[in-house]
Amino acid sequence: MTARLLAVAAAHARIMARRRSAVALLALLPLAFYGALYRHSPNAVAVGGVASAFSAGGAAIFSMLPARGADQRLSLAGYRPGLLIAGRLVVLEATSLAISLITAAVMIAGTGPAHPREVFAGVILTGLAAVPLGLALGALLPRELEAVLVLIGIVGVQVTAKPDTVISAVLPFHDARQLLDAAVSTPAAVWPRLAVTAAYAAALAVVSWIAWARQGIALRR
Amino acid sequence: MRVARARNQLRSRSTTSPSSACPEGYPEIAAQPSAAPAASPAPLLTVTGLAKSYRRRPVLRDVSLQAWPGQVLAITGENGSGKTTLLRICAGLEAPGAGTVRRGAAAGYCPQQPALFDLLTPAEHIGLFAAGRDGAAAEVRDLLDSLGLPLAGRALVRDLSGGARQKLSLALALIGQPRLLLLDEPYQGFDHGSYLDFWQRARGWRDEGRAVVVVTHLLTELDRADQVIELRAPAPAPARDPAPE
Repeated sequence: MTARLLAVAAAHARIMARRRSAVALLALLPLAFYGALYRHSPNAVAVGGVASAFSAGGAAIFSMLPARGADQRLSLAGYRPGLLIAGRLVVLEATSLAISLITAAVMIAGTGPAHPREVFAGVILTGLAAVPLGLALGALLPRELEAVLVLIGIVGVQVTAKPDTVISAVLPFHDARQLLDAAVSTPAAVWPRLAVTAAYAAALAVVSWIAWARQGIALRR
Repeated sequence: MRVARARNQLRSRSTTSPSSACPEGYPEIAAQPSAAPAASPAPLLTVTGLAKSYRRRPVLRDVSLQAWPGQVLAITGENGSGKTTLLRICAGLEAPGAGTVRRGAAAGYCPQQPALFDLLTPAEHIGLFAAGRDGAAAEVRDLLDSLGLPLAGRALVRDLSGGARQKLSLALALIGQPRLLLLDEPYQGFDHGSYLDFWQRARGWRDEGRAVVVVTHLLTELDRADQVIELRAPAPAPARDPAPE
């Protein structure tokens, strides 16, 4: 099982490494949001941090949907759907972590927030939830356009909704957003928010696993 | 009110026993299990009463067939007759609406459109698929070599020709030496030599005791098969006369 997981992860790592221009754009996208606001808005760090969900979630969507046929063949070749999801998850979370570190470092250098630890934590938590969200959208929705539009909607609402509203609280980046807001105001507890976001991410990963399994069914002999 | 229903017709003949070929006017929706070759322990594929509809449009209805070890079974029919759907159901990639599919062995499946990763090389594909099956890739490498698809290069799948992709797709179906091969027009884009090589290999797989199920459009290929199943596109059923008022 470990060998198969490594084989899937290695394949997706190769694919990611060969998309150099896409990876560069993924890193630049949240910085573009931050750059547009950092001189004019106190929300620049929060917007830039949550916008990293566009990158991580988008990469996950485009890792899933174009590979639906190939994954079905892999399921016939002995790979369980959970392995196919887990292999992607490992690679995309690692990519997301790298993007998060770059994003957080640039925002800290640009804004000089009072609590830089919260910036790192908030951006990393955003990526932690965004990857399984993208995987779930890719597994549930039939085409890239629909999946991307839903991702834009979720992230857009999370960015624009006031943090104390119900709609904000039920979205996956709520705790990350609270940490990013706290970075420029009063410090906030990281670990409870990490636990909530990790639980949310795990639930999304399970959803994508179940949805992928339903599409890659292999009859029992 | 006119009521029209689509239905499949299924015809079967055996090229190994021409005398048993069905005459014209096969019965509609006839279940035609193929004759079991002598000394065959069990069929490698048994389809019974299979039906499938998409959004209430029947694609397959009451299809039954068997594929035995040491047999090449051709599935033919016009566009829209459900050949690809039938093979996908046999492979386990779609659930049947009704009926049962039982496979007696692991199946290798080659889809009509190569489902590959554009940014991996052929060698990386083989490594990935072989890891899933714990299968030796030597036979696959040999096949790709004979089909003229080099494995040593760094060319990505996106840079390969359509024929080369199809060769790789076929090769992946063979990893692990599955005893049941489900091949959906596996030679699309092949040059003539590769096409002939495919059929020579198909005979070899049959001689090894595998069951080879091939979807094809080409009538010229039917003589290469031991058994031919013809699916017909769902045709409107005879309209019922309006009820007398």
